[in-house]
Amino acid sequence: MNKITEDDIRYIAELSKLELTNDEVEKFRNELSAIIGYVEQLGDADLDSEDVTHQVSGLVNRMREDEVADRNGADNSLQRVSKQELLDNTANATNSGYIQVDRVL
Amino acid sequence: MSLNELVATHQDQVTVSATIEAALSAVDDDPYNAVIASLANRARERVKIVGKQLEQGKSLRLAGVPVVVKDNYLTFGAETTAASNMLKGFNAPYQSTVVERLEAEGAIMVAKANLDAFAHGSSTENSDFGPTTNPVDETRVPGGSSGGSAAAVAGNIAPVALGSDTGGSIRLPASFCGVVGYKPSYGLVSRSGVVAMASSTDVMGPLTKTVADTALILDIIAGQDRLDGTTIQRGSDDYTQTDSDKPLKIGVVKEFMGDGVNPEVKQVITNQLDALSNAGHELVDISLPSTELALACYYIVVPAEISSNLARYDGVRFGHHTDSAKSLEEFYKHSRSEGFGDEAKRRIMIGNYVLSSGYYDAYYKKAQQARTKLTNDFEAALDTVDILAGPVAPTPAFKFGENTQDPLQMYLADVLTVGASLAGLPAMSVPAGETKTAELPVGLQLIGRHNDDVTVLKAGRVIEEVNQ
Repeated sequence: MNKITEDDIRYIAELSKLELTNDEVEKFRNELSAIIGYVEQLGDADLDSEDVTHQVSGLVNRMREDEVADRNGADNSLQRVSKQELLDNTANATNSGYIQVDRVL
Repeated sequence: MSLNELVATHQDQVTVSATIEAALSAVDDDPYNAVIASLANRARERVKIVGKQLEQGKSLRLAGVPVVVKDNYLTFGAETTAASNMLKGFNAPYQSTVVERLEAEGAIMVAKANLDAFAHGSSTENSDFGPTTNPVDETRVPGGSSGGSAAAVAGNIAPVALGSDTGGSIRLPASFCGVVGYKPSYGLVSRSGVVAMASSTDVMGPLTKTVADTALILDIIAGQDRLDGTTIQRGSDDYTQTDSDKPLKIGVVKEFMGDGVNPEVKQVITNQLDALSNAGHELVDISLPSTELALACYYIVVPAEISSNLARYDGVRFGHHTDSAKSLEEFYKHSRSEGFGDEAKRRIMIGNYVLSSGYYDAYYKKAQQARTKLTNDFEAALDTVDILAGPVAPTPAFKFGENTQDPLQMYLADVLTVGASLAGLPAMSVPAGETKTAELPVGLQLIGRHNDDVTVLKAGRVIEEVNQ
Protein backbone atom coordinates (compact mmCIF):
# COMPACT_ATOMS: atom_id res chain seq x y z
CA MET A 1 0.00 0.00 0.00
CA ASN A 2 1.09 3.49 -0.87
CA LYS A 3 1.88 5.27 2.37
CA ILE A 4 0.86 8.91 2.43
CA THR A 5 3.44 11.09 4.14
CA GLU A 6 3.29 14.55 5.67
CA ASP A 7 5.18 15.85 2.67
CA ASP A 8 2.54 14.33 0.36
CA ILE A 9 -0.20 16.17 2.25
CA ARG A 10 1.71 19.46 2.12
CA TYR A 11 2.28 19.01 -1.63
CA ILE A 12 -1.42 18.20 -2.32
CA ALA A 13 -2.49 21.14 -0.15
CA GLU A 14 -0.25 23.38 -2.25
CA LEU A 15 -1.82 22.03 -5.47
CA SER A 16 -5.23 22.60 -3.86
CA LYS A 17 -4.39 26.16 -2.78
CA LEU A 18 -5.18 25.28 0.83
CA GLU A 19 -3.18 26.30 3.89
CA LEU A 20 -3.10 23.67 6.63
CA THR A 21 -1.95 23.84 10.25
CA ASN A 22 0.40 21.11 11.51
CA ASP A 23 -2.53 19.44 13.29
CA GLU A 24 -4.55 19.47 10.09
CA VAL A 25 -1.68 17.94 8.16
CA GLU A 26 -1.62 15.02 10.59
CA LYS A 27 -5.42 14.68 10.64
CA PHE A 28 -5.74 14.67 6.84
CA ARG A 29 -2.75 12.34 6.54
CA ASN A 30 -4.59 9.75 8.64
CA GLU A 31 -7.92 10.22 6.90
CA LEU A 32 -6.55 10.27 3.37
CA SER A 33 -4.41 7.21 4.11
CA ALA A 34 -7.57 5.29 5.06
CA ILE A 35 -9.54 6.52 2.04
CA ILE A 36 -6.73 6.01 -0.48
CA GLY A 37 -6.08 2.61 1.13
CA TYR A 38 -9.70 1.72 0.47
CA VAL A 39 -9.78 2.83 -3.17
CA GLU A 40 -6.52 0.99 -3.84
CA GLN A 41 -8.53 -2.24 -4.04
CA LEU A 42 -9.08 -1.25 -7.69
CA GLY A 43 -5.41 -2.11 -8.19
CA ASP A 44 -6.26 -5.79 -7.71
CA ALA A 45 -9.05 -5.79 -10.30
CA ASP A 46 -8.38 -6.99 -13.82
CA LEU A 47 -9.30 -3.91 -15.81
CA ASP A 48 -6.53 -3.65 -18.40
CA SER A 49 -8.77 -4.67 -21.30
CA GLU A 50 -11.48 -2.12 -20.43
CA ASP A 51 -11.88 1.18 -22.25
CA VAL A 52 -12.01 4.33 -20.15
CA THR A 53 -15.38 5.99 -19.54
CA HIS A 54 -15.40 9.77 -19.79
CA GLN A 55 -19.17 10.20 -19.93
CA VAL A 56 -22.25 8.00 -19.94
CA SER A 57 -24.86 9.77 -22.07
CA GLY A 58 -23.23 8.91 -25.41
CA LEU A 59 -23.69 12.47 -26.64
CA VAL A 60 -21.34 13.83 -29.26
CA ASN A 61 -20.79 17.59 -29.76
CA ARG A 62 -23.96 19.62 -29.73
CA MET A 63 -23.64 22.71 -31.88
CA ARG A 64 -25.59 25.93 -31.88
CA GLU A 65 -25.48 29.06 -33.97
CA ASP A 66 -22.94 31.57 -32.68
CA GLU A 67 -25.25 34.53 -32.42
CA VAL A 68 -25.78 37.34 -29.94
CA ALA A 69 -28.86 36.58 -27.88
CA ASP A 70 -31.27 39.15 -26.53
CA ARG A 71 -30.68 39.36 -22.79
CA ASN A 72 -34.31 40.27 -22.17
CA GLY A 73 -35.63 37.58 -24.45
CA ALA A 74 -38.43 35.36 -23.20
CA ASP A 75 -36.44 32.17 -23.56
CA ASN A 76 -33.59 31.05 -21.30
CA SER A 77 -31.15 33.35 -22.95
CA LEU A 78 -27.47 32.59 -22.55
CA GLN A 79 -26.87 36.30 -22.15
CA ARG A 80 -29.54 36.93 -19.57
CA VAL A 81 -27.18 38.25 -16.92
CA SER A 82 -25.56 41.64 -17.17
CA LYS A 83 -21.93 42.22 -16.31
CA GLN A 84 -22.97 44.43 -13.40
CA GLU A 85 -25.18 41.67 -11.93
CA LEU A 86 -22.19 39.34 -12.00
CA LEU A 87 -19.94 41.93 -10.40
CA ASP A 88 -22.48 42.45 -7.60
CA ASN A 89 -21.29 39.22 -5.98
CA THR A 90 -17.64 40.18 -5.67
CA ALA A 91 -16.49 41.64 -2.40
CA ASN A 92 -13.37 42.93 -4.13
CA ALA A 93 -12.97 46.39 -5.53
CA THR A 94 -14.16 46.88 -9.08
CA ASN A 95 -12.80 49.35 -11.58
CA SER A 96 -14.50 50.24 -14.88
CA GLY A 97 -16.40 46.97 -14.96
CA TYR A 98 -13.40 44.82 -13.99
CA ILE A 99 -12.46 43.16 -10.71
CA GLN A 100 -9.37 44.53 -9.03
CA VAL A 101 -6.92 42.15 -7.37
CA ASP A 102 -3.42 42.40 -5.94
CA ARG A 103 -0.58 42.46 -8.44
CA VAL A 104 0.08 39.06 -10.00
CA LEU A 105 3.82 39.41 -10.61
CA MET B 1 -53.90 14.82 -1.50
CA SER B 2 -52.07 14.34 -4.79
CA LEU B 3 -50.48 17.28 -6.61
CA ASN B 4 -53.22 17.06 -9.25
CA GLU B 5 -55.88 17.24 -6.55
CA LEU B 6 -54.11 20.16 -4.88
CA VAL B 7 -53.86 22.04 -8.19
CA ALA B 8 -57.58 21.45 -8.78
CA THR B 9 -58.38 23.41 -5.58
CA HIS B 10 -56.63 26.50 -6.96
CA GLN B 11 -58.86 28.70 -9.09
CA ASP B 12 -57.69 32.18 -8.17
CA GLN B 13 -55.33 34.26 -6.05
CA VAL B 14 -57.32 33.64 -2.85
CA THR B 15 -57.12 29.85 -3.06
CA VAL B 16 -53.45 29.87 -4.09
CA SER B 17 -52.64 32.29 -1.30
CA ALA B 18 -54.25 30.02 1.32
CA THR B 19 -52.02 27.10 0.30
CA ILE B 20 -48.85 29.18 0.11
CA GLU B 21 -49.48 30.98 3.43
CA ALA B 22 -49.94 27.58 5.11
CA ALA B 23 -46.65 26.39 3.59
CA LEU B 24 -44.85 29.58 4.65
CA SER B 25 -46.11 29.06 8.22
CA ALA B 26 -44.77 25.51 8.13
CA VAL B 27 -41.45 26.91 6.90
CA ASP B 28 -41.35 29.35 9.82
CA ASP B 29 -42.26 26.63 12.32
CA ASP B 30 -39.85 24.04 10.85
CA PRO B 31 -38.79 21.88 13.83
CA TYR B 32 -36.24 19.84 11.84
CA ASN B 33 -33.88 22.55 10.54
CA ALA B 34 -34.97 21.22 7.15
CA VAL B 35 -34.98 24.69 5.65
CA ILE B 36 -32.29 27.35 5.99
CA ALA B 37 -33.97 30.30 4.26
CA SER B 38 -37.57 31.34 3.65
CA LEU B 39 -38.54 32.69 0.24
CA ALA B 40 -41.66 34.35 1.69
CA ASN B 41 -41.41 37.72 -0.04
CA ARG B 42 -40.86 36.29 -3.47
CA ALA B 43 -43.45 33.54 -2.89
CA ARG B 44 -46.09 36.22 -2.12
CA GLU B 45 -45.18 38.05 -5.32
CA ARG B 46 -45.52 34.78 -7.20
CA VAL B 47 -48.96 34.18 -5.63
CA LYS B 48 -50.17 37.38 -7.28
CA ILE B 49 -48.73 36.38 -10.65
CA VAL B 50 -50.06 32.81 -10.55
CA GLY B 51 -53.44 34.02 -9.26
CA LYS B 52 -53.73 36.45 -12.16
CA GLN B 53 -52.75 33.76 -14.66
CA LEU B 54 -55.47 31.47 -13.29
CA GLU B 55 -58.05 34.23 -13.36
CA GLN B 56 -57.17 34.80 -17.02
CA GLY B 57 -57.99 31.15 -17.65
CA LYS B 58 -54.42 29.94 -18.07
CA SER B 59 -53.95 26.24 -17.49
CA LEU B 60 -51.00 25.56 -15.17
CA ARG B 61 -50.05 22.02 -14.22
CA LEU B 62 -48.51 23.07 -10.87
CA ALA B 63 -50.65 26.13 -10.08
CA GLY B 64 -49.93 27.15 -6.49
CA VAL B 65 -47.90 24.05 -5.60
CA PRO B 66 -45.41 24.94 -2.83
CA VAL B 67 -41.89 23.63 -3.47
CA VAL B 68 -38.86 23.50 -1.18
CA VAL B 69 -35.59 23.81 -3.11
CA LYS B 70 -32.24 22.37 -2.08
CA ASP B 71 -29.93 25.31 -1.46
CA ASN B 72 -27.48 24.30 -4.17
CA TYR B 73 -30.07 25.38 -6.78
CA LEU B 74 -29.73 29.02 -7.82
CA THR B 75 -32.96 30.84 -6.96
CA PHE B 76 -34.15 34.39 -6.58
CA GLY B 77 -35.56 35.54 -3.25
CA ALA B 78 -32.73 34.48 -0.92
CA GLU B 79 -29.02 33.74 -0.94
CA THR B 80 -27.83 30.53 -2.58
CA THR B 81 -25.18 29.08 -0.28
CA ALA B 82 -25.09 25.31 -0.86
CA ALA B 83 -25.13 25.32 2.99
CA SER B 84 -21.49 26.42 2.95
CA ASN B 85 -19.71 29.34 4.57
CA MET B 86 -17.92 29.73 1.24
CA LEU B 87 -21.10 30.93 -0.50
CA LYS B 88 -22.77 32.84 2.33
CA GLY B 89 -23.95 36.16 0.92
CA PHE B 90 -24.13 34.92 -2.67
CA ASN B 91 -27.14 36.27 -4.55
CA ALA B 92 -27.89 34.33 -7.70
CA PRO B 93 -28.06 36.55 -10.79
CA TYR B 94 -30.24 33.97 -12.56
CA GLN B 95 -32.28 30.89 -11.60
CA SER B 96 -31.62 27.24 -12.32
CA THR B 97 -33.44 25.78 -15.32
CA VAL B 98 -35.38 23.31 -13.15
CA VAL B 99 -36.77 26.15 -11.00
CA GLU B 100 -37.63 28.18 -14.11
CA ARG B 101 -39.50 25.23 -15.64
CA LEU B 102 -41.49 24.58 -12.45
CA GLU B 103 -42.36 28.28 -12.12
CA ALA B 104 -43.55 28.36 -15.72
CA GLU B 105 -46.18 25.79 -14.68
CA GLY B 106 -47.27 27.85 -11.66
CA ALA B 107 -45.19 26.26 -8.89
CA ILE B 108 -44.14 28.55 -6.05
CA MET B 109 -40.77 28.16 -4.30
CA VAL B 110 -41.28 28.67 -0.56
CA ALA B 111 -37.90 27.88 1.03
CA LYS B 112 -34.33 26.70 0.54
CA ALA B 113 -33.53 23.28 1.98
CA ASN B 114 -30.55 22.34 4.12
CA LEU B 115 -27.87 20.00 2.77
CA ASP B 116 -24.38 18.76 3.48
CA ALA B 117 -22.19 21.70 2.43
CA PHE B 118 -21.66 21.56 -1.35
CA ALA B 119 -23.69 18.29 -1.25
CA HIS B 120 -20.66 16.52 0.24
CA GLY B 121 -22.08 14.03 2.69
CA SER B 122 -24.59 11.33 3.50
CA SER B 123 -26.23 12.66 6.67
CA THR B 124 -26.72 16.47 6.40
CA GLU B 125 -24.49 16.72 9.49
CA ASN B 126 -21.90 18.46 7.31
CA SER B 127 -23.95 21.64 6.90
CA ASP B 128 -22.54 25.01 7.94
CA PHE B 129 -26.13 25.79 9.05
CA GLY B 130 -26.27 22.87 11.53
CA PRO B 131 -27.72 19.40 10.95
CA THR B 132 -31.26 18.51 9.91
CA THR B 133 -33.17 16.01 12.06
CA ASN B 134 -35.16 13.08 10.71
CA PRO B 135 -38.91 13.72 11.16
CA VAL B 136 -39.45 9.99 11.75
CA ASP B 137 -37.01 9.89 14.70
CA GLU B 138 -35.38 13.15 15.73
CA THR B 139 -32.39 11.41 17.32
CA ARG B 140 -31.37 10.24 13.86
CA VAL B 141 -29.99 11.80 10.69
CA PRO B 142 -32.25 12.32 7.68
CA GLY B 143 -29.57 11.00 5.32
CA GLY B 144 -27.86 13.21 2.79
CA SER B 145 -26.95 15.19 1.08
CA SER B 146 -30.56 16.21 0.25
CA GLY B 147 -31.53 15.71 3.92
CA GLY B 148 -33.38 19.03 4.23
CA SER B 149 -35.41 18.22 1.12
CA ALA B 150 -36.39 14.75 2.40
CA ALA B 151 -37.24 16.10 5.86
CA ALA B 152 -39.34 18.91 4.32
CA VAL B 153 -41.48 16.34 2.48
CA ALA B 154 -41.61 13.78 5.31
CA GLY B 155 -42.36 16.57 7.80
CA ASN B 156 -45.18 17.99 5.64
CA ILE B 157 -43.58 21.38 5.05
CA ALA B 158 -44.20 21.03 1.30
CA PRO B 159 -45.49 18.25 -0.97
CA VAL B 160 -42.50 18.59 -3.31
CA ALA B 161 -38.82 19.21 -2.68
CA LEU B 162 -35.98 19.39 -5.16
CA GLY B 163 -32.78 17.49 -4.55
CA SER B 164 -29.59 16.62 -6.37
CA ASP B 165 -28.02 13.17 -6.59
CA THR B 166 -24.35 12.63 -7.36
CA GLY B 167 -23.88 9.26 -5.66
CA GLY B 168 -27.14 8.70 -3.78
CA SER B 169 -27.96 12.13 -2.38
CA ILE B 170 -31.67 11.93 -3.31
CA ARG B 171 -32.23 8.19 -2.79
CA LEU B 172 -30.48 7.86 0.58
CA PRO B 173 -32.42 10.59 2.42
CA ALA B 174 -35.65 9.39 0.76
CA SER B 175 -34.98 5.92 2.17
CA PHE B 176 -34.08 7.27 5.65
CA CYS B 177 -37.15 9.55 5.84
CA GLY B 178 -39.70 7.26 4.16
CA VAL B 179 -40.49 9.32 1.05
CA VAL B 180 -40.13 8.78 -2.71
CA GLY B 181 -36.83 10.05 -4.11
CA TYR B 182 -36.04 10.00 -7.81
CA LYS B 183 -32.67 10.24 -9.57
CA PRO B 184 -33.34 10.63 -13.31
CA SER B 185 -31.10 9.24 -16.04
CA TYR B 186 -27.89 11.25 -16.35
CA GLY B 187 -28.54 14.14 -18.73
CA LEU B 188 -32.33 13.97 -18.63
CA VAL B 189 -32.63 17.00 -16.33
CA SER B 190 -30.63 20.18 -16.78
CA ARG B 191 -27.80 20.93 -14.35
CA SER B 192 -27.79 24.59 -15.37
CA GLY B 193 -27.85 26.84 -12.33
CA VAL B 194 -27.02 24.18 -9.76
CA VAL B 195 -23.76 24.42 -7.80
CA ALA B 196 -21.54 21.79 -9.45
CA MET B 197 -20.17 18.84 -7.50
CA ALA B 198 -19.16 16.07 -9.94
CA SER B 199 -20.35 17.02 -13.39
CA SER B 200 -20.30 13.51 -14.88
CA THR B 201 -22.76 12.12 -12.31
CA ASP B 202 -24.70 15.17 -10.95
CA VAL B 203 -28.45 14.79 -11.63
CA MET B 204 -31.38 16.89 -10.40
CA GLY B 205 -34.61 15.28 -9.25
CA PRO B 206 -37.66 15.50 -6.99
CA LEU B 207 -38.63 14.09 -3.60
CA THR B 208 -42.37 13.62 -3.03
CA LYS B 209 -44.87 11.48 -1.14
CA THR B 210 -45.96 9.40 -4.15
CA VAL B 211 -44.59 8.08 -7.42
CA ALA B 212 -47.39 9.78 -9.38
CA ASP B 213 -46.33 13.18 -7.98
CA THR B 214 -42.70 12.44 -8.87
CA ALA B 215 -43.75 11.49 -12.40
CA LEU B 216 -45.59 14.80 -12.81
CA ILE B 217 -42.56 16.81 -11.67
CA LEU B 218 -40.22 14.81 -13.92
CA ASP B 219 -42.54 15.36 -16.88
CA ILE B 220 -42.15 19.12 -16.40
CA ILE B 221 -38.40 19.31 -15.77
CA ALA B 222 -37.11 16.62 -18.16
CA GLY B 223 -35.55 17.28 -21.53
CA GLN B 224 -32.89 19.18 -23.41
CA ASP B 225 -31.80 22.61 -22.26
CA ARG B 226 -29.63 24.88 -24.36
CA LEU B 227 -27.91 26.02 -21.16
CA ASP B 228 -26.65 22.48 -20.44
CA GLY B 229 -24.90 20.82 -23.37
CA THR B 230 -25.02 17.42 -21.65
CA THR B 231 -28.82 17.22 -21.60
CA ILE B 232 -30.42 14.45 -23.68
CA GLN B 233 -33.67 14.11 -25.58
CA ARG B 234 -36.56 12.81 -23.51
CA GLY B 235 -37.03 9.04 -23.58
CA SER B 236 -40.79 9.46 -23.17
CA ASP B 237 -43.30 12.06 -24.36
CA ASP B 238 -45.32 11.65 -21.18
CA TYR B 239 -43.73 10.49 -17.92
CA THR B 240 -47.10 10.59 -16.16
CA GLN B 241 -48.29 7.52 -18.07
CA THR B 242 -47.20 5.07 -15.40
CA ASP B 243 -49.98 2.46 -15.51
CA SER B 244 -48.56 -0.92 -16.41
CA ASP B 245 -50.60 -3.78 -17.73
CA LYS B 246 -48.14 -6.65 -17.68
CA PRO B 247 -46.22 -8.25 -14.80
CA LEU B 248 -42.68 -7.02 -14.19
CA LYS B 249 -39.56 -9.11 -14.49
CA ILE B 250 -37.51 -7.90 -11.54
CA GLY B 251 -33.80 -8.65 -11.18
CA VAL B 252 -32.83 -8.99 -7.53
CA VAL B 253 -29.20 -7.94 -7.26
CA LYS B 254 -27.35 -10.57 -5.23
CA GLU B 255 -24.49 -8.25 -4.26
CA PHE B 256 -26.96 -5.71 -2.82
CA MET B 257 -28.10 -8.30 -0.25
CA GLY B 258 -24.64 -9.23 1.03
CA ASP B 259 -23.23 -9.55 4.56
CA GLY B 260 -22.66 -5.81 4.90
CA VAL B 261 -26.40 -5.15 4.80
CA ASN B 262 -28.23 -4.83 8.14
CA PRO B 263 -30.40 -7.97 8.68
CA GLU B 264 -33.50 -5.92 9.48
CA VAL B 265 -33.09 -3.95 6.24
CA LYS B 266 -32.67 -7.22 4.38
CA GLN B 267 -35.87 -8.52 5.98
CA VAL B 268 -37.92 -5.51 4.83
CA ILE B 269 -36.58 -5.88 1.29
CA THR B 270 -37.22 -9.64 1.25
CA ASN B 271 -40.79 -9.09 2.46
CA GLN B 272 -41.30 -6.47 -0.23
CA LEU B 273 -40.00 -8.79 -2.94
CA ASP B 274 -42.19 -11.63 -1.65
CA ALA B 275 -45.22 -9.34 -1.84
CA LEU B 276 -44.34 -8.51 -5.46
CA SER B 277 -43.95 -12.19 -6.26
CA ASN B 278 -47.33 -12.96 -4.66
CA ALA B 279 -48.87 -10.24 -6.81
CA GLY B 280 -47.72 -12.07 -9.93
CA HIS B 281 -44.42 -10.37 -10.73
CA GLU B 282 -41.42 -12.48 -11.67
CA LEU B 283 -38.27 -12.35 -9.53
CA VAL B 284 -34.92 -13.31 -11.05
CA ASP B 285 -31.58 -13.50 -9.22
CA ILE B 286 -29.00 -11.28 -10.88
CA SER B 287 -25.31 -10.88 -10.18
CA LEU B 288 -23.48 -7.58 -10.67
CA PRO B 289 -19.94 -8.72 -9.88
CA SER B 290 -18.36 -5.28 -10.29
CA THR B 291 -20.56 -3.83 -7.53
CA GLU B 292 -17.62 -4.39 -5.16
CA LEU B 293 -15.56 -1.94 -7.24
CA ALA B 294 -18.24 0.74 -7.42
CA LEU B 295 -17.49 2.65 -4.22
CA ALA B 296 -13.72 2.67 -4.79
CA CYS B 297 -14.32 3.87 -8.35
CA TYR B 298 -16.74 6.54 -7.13
CA TYR B 299 -14.35 7.91 -4.50
CA ILE B 300 -11.71 8.44 -7.17
CA VAL B 301 -13.83 9.83 -10.02
CA VAL B 302 -15.99 12.12 -7.90
CA PRO B 303 -13.25 13.80 -5.79
CA ALA B 304 -11.28 14.29 -9.02
CA GLU B 305 -14.22 16.20 -10.49
CA ILE B 306 -14.84 18.03 -7.21
CA SER B 307 -11.25 19.26 -7.07
CA SER B 308 -11.73 20.73 -10.54
CA ASN B 309 -15.20 22.19 -9.93
CA LEU B 310 -14.23 23.73 -6.60
CA ALA B 311 -11.14 25.38 -8.11
CA ARG B 312 -13.45 28.24 -9.11
CA TYR B 313 -13.78 29.36 -5.47
CA ASP B 314 -10.83 31.70 -5.38
CA GLY B 315 -12.44 34.51 -3.38
CA VAL B 316 -12.07 36.91 -6.29
CA ARG B 317 -15.31 36.90 -8.26
CA PHE B 318 -17.79 35.59 -5.68
CA GLY B 319 -17.88 33.67 -2.43
CA HIS B 320 -15.98 34.13 0.81
CA HIS B 321 -12.82 36.19 0.65
CA THR B 322 -10.16 36.67 3.24
CA ASP B 323 -9.24 39.88 5.02
CA SER B 324 -5.71 38.72 5.80
CA ALA B 325 -3.58 38.37 2.70
CA LYS B 326 -0.35 40.04 1.70
CA SER B 327 -0.27 38.70 -1.86
CA LEU B 328 -2.63 37.29 -4.47
CA GLU B 329 -1.34 33.77 -3.79
CA GLU B 330 -2.07 34.19 -0.08
CA PHE B 331 -5.46 35.67 -0.94
CA TYR B 332 -6.42 32.46 -2.77
CA LYS B 333 -5.12 30.18 -0.04
CA HIS B 334 -6.61 32.06 2.89
CA SER B 335 -9.96 32.55 1.17
CA ARG B 336 -10.24 28.83 0.38
CA SER B 337 -8.92 27.64 3.75
CA GLU B 338 -11.36 29.89 5.65
CA GLY B 339 -14.38 29.25 3.38
CA PHE B 340 -14.24 25.49 2.89
CA GLY B 341 -15.10 23.00 5.62
CA ASP B 342 -13.08 19.86 6.32
CA GLU B 343 -15.10 17.58 4.00
CA ALA B 344 -14.67 19.87 0.99
CA LYS B 345 -10.93 20.14 1.78
CA ARG B 346 -10.69 16.37 2.11
CA ARG B 347 -12.37 15.76 -1.25
CA ILE B 348 -10.38 18.46 -3.03
CA MET B 349 -7.16 16.92 -1.73
CA ILE B 350 -8.16 13.34 -2.63
CA GLY B 351 -9.04 14.61 -6.10
CA ASN B 352 -5.76 16.40 -6.56
CA TYR B 353 -3.88 13.38 -5.22
CA VAL B 354 -5.44 10.89 -7.67
CA LEU B 355 -4.99 13.32 -10.56
CA SER B 356 -1.42 14.32 -9.70
CA SER B 357 1.55 13.44 -11.84
CA GLY B 358 2.69 9.85 -11.27
CA TYR B 359 -0.59 8.71 -9.72
CA TYR B 360 -3.02 9.40 -12.56
CA ASP B 361 -2.67 5.97 -14.21
CA ALA B 362 -2.81 4.08 -10.92
CA TYR B 363 -5.98 5.78 -9.71
CA TYR B 364 -7.96 7.93 -12.12
CA LYS B 365 -7.44 5.89 -15.28
CA LYS B 366 -8.07 2.67 -13.40
CA ALA B 367 -11.31 4.13 -11.99
CA GLN B 368 -12.47 5.12 -15.47
CA GLN B 369 -11.84 1.56 -16.61
CA ALA B 370 -13.75 0.21 -13.62
CA ARG B 371 -16.57 2.58 -14.56
CA THR B 372 -16.76 0.95 -18.00
CA LYS B 373 -16.89 -2.52 -16.49
CA LEU B 374 -19.59 -1.46 -14.06
CA THR B 375 -21.68 0.15 -16.80
CA ASN B 376 -21.35 -2.95 -19.00
CA ASP B 377 -22.40 -5.18 -16.09
CA PHE B 378 -25.52 -3.08 -15.53
CA GLU B 379 -26.36 -3.10 -19.24
CA ALA B 380 -25.98 -6.87 -19.49
CA ALA B 381 -28.18 -7.38 -16.43
CA LEU B 382 -30.83 -4.98 -17.71
CA ASP B 383 -30.94 -6.82 -21.05
CA THR B 384 -32.49 -9.78 -19.24
CA VAL B 385 -34.96 -8.03 -16.87
CA ASP B 386 -37.22 -4.95 -16.81
CA ILE B 387 -35.77 -3.49 -13.66
CA LEU B 388 -33.16 -4.14 -10.95
CA ALA B 389 -34.09 -4.08 -7.28
CA GLY B 390 -32.37 -4.08 -3.90
CA PRO B 391 -32.01 -1.90 -0.81
CA VAL B 392 -31.03 1.78 -1.14
CA ALA B 393 -28.68 1.69 1.81
CA PRO B 394 -27.10 -0.99 4.00
CA THR B 395 -28.63 0.53 7.15
CA PRO B 396 -31.68 2.52 8.22
CA ALA B 397 -31.19 6.11 9.45
CA PHE B 398 -28.27 6.20 11.87
CA LYS B 399 -27.84 8.33 14.99
CA PHE B 400 -26.16 11.73 15.01
CA GLY B 401 -22.40 11.50 15.38
CA GLU B 402 -22.30 7.77 14.65
CA ASN B 403 -20.20 8.17 11.49
CA THR B 404 -18.78 11.70 11.74
CA GLN B 405 -15.43 10.69 13.28
CA ASP B 406 -14.57 8.37 10.40
CA PRO B 407 -15.04 9.78 6.89
CA LEU B 408 -14.56 6.36 5.27
CA GLN B 409 -17.36 4.89 7.40
CA MET B 410 -19.65 7.72 6.23
CA TYR B 411 -18.72 7.02 2.59
CA LEU B 412 -19.87 3.40 3.01
CA ALA B 413 -23.49 4.64 3.36
CA ASP B 414 -23.35 5.21 -0.42
CA VAL B 415 -22.13 1.71 -1.29
CA LEU B 416 -25.40 0.62 -2.95
CA THR B 417 -26.30 3.88 -4.67
CA VAL B 418 -23.07 4.93 -6.40
CA GLY B 419 -23.29 2.20 -9.06
CA ALA B 420 -26.35 3.67 -10.80
CA SER B 421 -24.74 7.12 -10.57
CA LEU B 422 -21.51 6.04 -12.27
CA ALA B 423 -23.48 4.22 -14.97
CA GLY B 424 -25.88 7.18 -15.43
CA LEU B 425 -28.95 5.02 -14.87
CA PRO B 426 -32.35 6.18 -13.56
CA ALA B 427 -32.93 5.03 -9.98
CA MET B 428 -35.52 5.57 -7.31
CA SER B 429 -36.13 4.95 -3.62
CA VAL B 430 -39.68 3.81 -2.86
CA PRO B 431 -40.84 3.21 0.74
CA ALA B 432 -40.84 -0.56 1.32
CA GLY B 433 -41.65 -0.83 5.02
CA GLU B 434 -40.09 -0.36 8.44
CA THR B 435 -37.43 -2.16 10.44
CA LYS B 436 -38.81 -4.37 13.18
CA THR B 437 -36.96 -3.04 16.23
CA ALA B 438 -36.79 0.72 15.80
CA GLU B 439 -39.56 1.05 13.18
CA LEU B 440 -37.38 3.06 10.81
CA PRO B 441 -38.27 3.44 7.13
CA VAL B 442 -36.45 1.39 4.50
CA GLY B 443 -36.45 2.24 0.81
CA LEU B 444 -36.43 -0.25 -2.04
CA GLN B 445 -34.08 0.88 -4.79
CA LEU B 446 -35.21 0.40 -8.38
CA ILE B 447 -32.69 0.84 -11.21
CA GLY B 448 -33.61 0.96 -14.90
CA ARG B 449 -32.05 1.36 -18.33
CA HIS B 450 -30.55 4.70 -19.34
CA ASN B 451 -33.25 7.08 -20.61
CA ASP B 452 -35.95 4.52 -19.87
CA ASP B 453 -37.16 6.43 -16.82
CA VAL B 454 -40.78 5.60 -17.47
CA THR B 455 -40.14 1.92 -16.67
CA VAL B 456 -38.67 2.87 -13.29
CA LEU B 457 -41.72 5.02 -12.54
CA LYS B 458 -44.06 2.22 -13.61
CA ALA B 459 -42.27 -0.20 -11.29
CA GLY B 460 -42.53 2.34 -8.48
CA ARG B 461 -46.29 2.54 -8.99
CA VAL B 462 -46.49 -1.26 -8.86
CA ILE B 463 -44.72 -1.26 -5.46
CA GLU B 464 -47.09 1.39 -4.10
CA GLU B 465 -50.11 -0.60 -5.28
CA VAL B 466 -48.81 -3.83 -3.74
CA ASN B 467 -48.19 -2.02 -0.44
CA GLN B 468 -51.61 -0.37 -0.26
